[in-house]
Amino acid sequence: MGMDVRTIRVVKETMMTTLKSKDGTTIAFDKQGDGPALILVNGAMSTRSDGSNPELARLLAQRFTVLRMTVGAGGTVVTPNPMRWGARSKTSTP
Amino acid sequence: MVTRQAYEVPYNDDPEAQKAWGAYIKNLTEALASNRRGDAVALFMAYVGMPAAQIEGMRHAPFWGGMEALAPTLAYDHTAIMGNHGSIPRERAARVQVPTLVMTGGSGAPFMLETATTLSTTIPHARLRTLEGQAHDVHPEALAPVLAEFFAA
Repeated sequence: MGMDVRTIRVVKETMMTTLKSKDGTTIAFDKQGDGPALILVNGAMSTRSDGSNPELARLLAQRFTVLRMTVGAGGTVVTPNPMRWGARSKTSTP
Repeated sequence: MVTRQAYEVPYNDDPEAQKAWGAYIKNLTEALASNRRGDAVALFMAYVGMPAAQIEGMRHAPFWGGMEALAPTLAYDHTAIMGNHGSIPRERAARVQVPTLVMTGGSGAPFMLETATTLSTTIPHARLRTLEGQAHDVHPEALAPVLAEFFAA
């Protein structure tokens, strides 16, 4: 199909917890490491489990309590990351 | 202490880019209002440059359902944070009170550096850091040490 599927993988190295936000949206998050709290907010249409997010969390968990979240999807979906701003041919337009 | 960092927030003051962004937001809002989640995902894919044929192929992929589940979050990520025009929110940036690290990749789209520079000079307690050799899809090995240093300071 020609698309980049390298990011499709399920990572299960931490405990997942869910909570409800004020407007009823489910937020899934997991926690790893020790130290000051650090919340990772991923980019649009990306979850805490895809792309390089797990690796970034693993590196930061050596010094921080890293909290990763996925908003609105129950935290179970894994999607490819379609963001490729840097690869655009028209550089002045996102 | 509360601090924050931002990597390549894609605000863009270029009028042409804002026109394209405005059209995207209009279509996105309509798609989400009528619960056409797949169309919302497709609009986003098209906006970031994916060819139409490839998007059509993705609609039949196993992960498409997961993307549809995430589609409503575009209303927050794009309509709420980026706004209807996608211009740099100078007034909002000027009100940020916490120390902020604004980052951009040295190999990414040039407008990202312009935007990051503007944000870092508008936010009162901000620093700008360019990660050489990185684009929008930044490598964790390049990002993690910079974040650790900033948050530990």
